[in-house]
Amino acid sequence: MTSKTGNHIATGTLFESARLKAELDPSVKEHLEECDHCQGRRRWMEAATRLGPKERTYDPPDAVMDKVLRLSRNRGLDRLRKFIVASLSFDSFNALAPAGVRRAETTERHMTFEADDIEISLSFRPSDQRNFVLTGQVMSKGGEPLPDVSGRVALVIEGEHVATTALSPWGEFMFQDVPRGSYALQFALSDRLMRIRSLLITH
Amino acid sequence: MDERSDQELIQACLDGDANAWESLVHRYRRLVYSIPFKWGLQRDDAMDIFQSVWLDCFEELHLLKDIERLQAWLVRIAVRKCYRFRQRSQSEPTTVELIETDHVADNPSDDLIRHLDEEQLIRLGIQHLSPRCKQVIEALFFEDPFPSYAIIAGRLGLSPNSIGFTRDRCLDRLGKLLEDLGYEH
Repeated sequence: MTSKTGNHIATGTLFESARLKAELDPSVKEHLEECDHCQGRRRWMEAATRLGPKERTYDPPDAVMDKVLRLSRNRGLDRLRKFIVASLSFDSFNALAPAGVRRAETTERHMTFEADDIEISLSFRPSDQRNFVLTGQVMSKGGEPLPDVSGRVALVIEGEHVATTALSPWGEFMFQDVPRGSYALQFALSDRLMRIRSLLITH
Repeated sequence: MDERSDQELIQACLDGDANAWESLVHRYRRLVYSIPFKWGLQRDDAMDIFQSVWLDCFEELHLLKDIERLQAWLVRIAVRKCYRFRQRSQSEPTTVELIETDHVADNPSDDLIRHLDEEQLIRLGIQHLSPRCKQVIEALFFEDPFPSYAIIAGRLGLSPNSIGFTRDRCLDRLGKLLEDLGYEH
């Protein structure tokens, strides 16, 4: 077999050294040590070799793929089109404390957010040294529950939905043992997505 | 194969194109599914994590249209889910393919990202090959045990004498595609 073509090592020779660990002739080895082009070609062949037979086991089972592909039908791509960011309209920590009460004494925090015709009330209080209980309710601005039985809410950290729960028929939800940190909250309703972009739970 | 970029596919999803979602999932299915195995998790857990990553991706599409690299986002989310899974189960892996600190961190290291990027580029390169070359490359790299050249030639209907030429042509073609896809040697 020719081990060099033109100024570079023949493709087959490089392949056999990368994939089949074939010994290279001393002159070919010397060229390889000095030639960036040939080193580059050999490196991708080594990477493909590392991928190896396992690659064929990395195809998810059909049933799992079906479930993922069905997301675009079951969850509805249409809903994704209506994405609304909720804005803060009330925060008890910014409100004046009642006379005689120092703000630090209040351990429960209440917030209200608004998005279109919807109001989201949140409340969080410490459950232990590190964690909080987060409760809330989603309703119309008129105080009526939403006519949506499929609503869900997710606690999101940098894009990862770390916890999700269903809304009750009255739009209520609760997350227990939420560690201090910065979160987003995303509400998936039948006709829209609503997001509270940043919720810093620190005290 | 859908030639649209990730950003074009995401935008198409948001415009209601279910085929775009399928293309996106097919493009990265092996990358996402491989990550739990690299963490030494079992098949059932890998299936759960795979679904969970794509569920997050679906719900986040409206924000992902603005990110630079969907691939890096998928890797980060999958690694974090593996990390959380391990924390919850408190179990040590039976085998961990990547010998590094990723199994104790919830963010992927630069090495892991580079490693997974290389693998994904090779997958994409192979997807761009002609069916015949794809068959050759998969036989060369992904079969165990390595099939003899005579067997590969037989499958392709070639004489054993000409398989060397076909092999080299397909390898060169893949090398060129990888270069075009930005594979850094």
